[in-house]
Amino acid sequence: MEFREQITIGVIFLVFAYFASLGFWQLVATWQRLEALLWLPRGVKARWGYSLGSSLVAAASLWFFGTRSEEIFSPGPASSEFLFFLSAGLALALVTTVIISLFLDRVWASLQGLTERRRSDSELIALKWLRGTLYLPSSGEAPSPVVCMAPEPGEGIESLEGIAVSLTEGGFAAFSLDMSSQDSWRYPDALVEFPQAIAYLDTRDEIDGSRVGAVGVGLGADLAIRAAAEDRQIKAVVALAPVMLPSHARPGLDLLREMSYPEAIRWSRVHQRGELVTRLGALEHVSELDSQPLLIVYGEEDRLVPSAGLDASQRATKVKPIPGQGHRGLERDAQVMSLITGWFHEHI
Amino acid sequence: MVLDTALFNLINGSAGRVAVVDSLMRLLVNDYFLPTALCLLTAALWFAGSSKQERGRNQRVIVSIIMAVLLANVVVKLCNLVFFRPRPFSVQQVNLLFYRPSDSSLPANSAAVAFAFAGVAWQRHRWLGVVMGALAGLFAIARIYCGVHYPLDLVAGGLVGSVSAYLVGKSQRALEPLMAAVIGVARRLYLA
Repeated sequence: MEFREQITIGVIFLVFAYFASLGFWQLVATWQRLEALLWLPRGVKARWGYSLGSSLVAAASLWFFGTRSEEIFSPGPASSEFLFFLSAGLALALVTTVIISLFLDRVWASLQGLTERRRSDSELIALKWLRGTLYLPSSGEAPSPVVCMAPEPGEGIESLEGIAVSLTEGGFAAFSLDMSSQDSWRYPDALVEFPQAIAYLDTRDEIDGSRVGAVGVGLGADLAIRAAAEDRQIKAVVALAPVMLPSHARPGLDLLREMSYPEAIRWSRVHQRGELVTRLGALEHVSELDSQPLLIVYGEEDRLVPSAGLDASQRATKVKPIPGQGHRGLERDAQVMSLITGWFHEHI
Repeated sequence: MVLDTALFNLINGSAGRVAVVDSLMRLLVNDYFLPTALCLLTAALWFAGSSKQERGRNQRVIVSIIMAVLLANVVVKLCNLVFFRPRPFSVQQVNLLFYRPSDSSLPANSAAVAFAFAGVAWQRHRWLGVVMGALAGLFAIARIYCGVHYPLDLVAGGLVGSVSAYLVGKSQRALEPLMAAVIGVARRLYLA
């Protein structure tokens, strides 16, 4: 009987620990800006996150300490069992927090998508050796200069649609490489993506193959730098948050500041990401870009790839930090889009 | 012992006079409120730090706290095997605001655990050590006020906890492989 009573008290404590932990995770997520755990949409002031977390902790405490005094003042779990129930509550609450955050993230994103979706005229290119989307300018000079773009691994081509639309509005054609399959990122296969795209674009009458630029995001930026170092046909490069160093490929908790938990798993699963960064060797190849101006754009809040180690030591390199931006989202930032268009207007 | 009993009588004698103070002490004395607060404070420390290195140092503090708490528990259990001191309510009239625990009164396990938390925290973060030390102190006073421990039990428990924290603090090099393994697993789960 005594054992059953202790288990009952333990389960009641587990319920308390679970709900208090839900609040705890919201407090931690707000404090450390862990996007993967936050329930409130991005950009909402921190005080709302703290209020939500504190309310959950307070409500759980009021219920447990206010109404369960009979159980609390009976012999309950010993210290090891107490720790077991508390840890179980924390772990269960963490899983729940991740799931709810994921669900709410989609809700907020679909609400935003309704208002931010931009129209674009694009052509899907699906050849045996090349997949991507070509965006042509509706007006301007013909043939048009073109910008070839590589997304972050795991991101669909739609992630670069904002930049593509901005470029077409500036009179450029834009070609977004479809590198959504994991196989696109195998080394050395990844090295052929830019040359194949440029070779294809050369065959199009609407495009001026002598005026080519390259844009990349994350590991895609490393690839763009490497491609430009090996192909003088690329006249200028914009690298958004390039990874550059293998140590940046294993950010651990910092991933959750930028993306949801499933996205973090996908992000890490790119074949030997650290080794790919080493083999691409973007940092060493920057020095080979003397005649091809390189603009490196970082989010000031980027915790995955801190820009502190980088400086514009190369003559043709410019480093531009963007206040308020993290590692992801740079490609959707209006300031970044206008920087990219301006850079290519100036250099190709 | 006379002083111990006199001090106990002084503190426990105040119980049952002011309802608000009794309620507060019943909140502080129970097995859940302060231990949960200490554990959540510790869990929050896991995420503190502006860089991966700083966070790693904080995470090592948490592994040290767990080790110190385990050590303190083992020492208390060993003491209980060789020595038994009856609880105050078993030997004299007290104002009891808690249930009747049946294990030895000395050393106080609750104080050993709470001061193990505070002791390790103090070695790395003075401010956190002070906060946890204050919570441990409140826990100890509430235990006397509610009639479940003599002051000496808590002093002994506090000593066990503090010495455990000190010993774990001095064994950082030996514990490093364990700490690295724990943090490595957490990092694979994106939690470190």
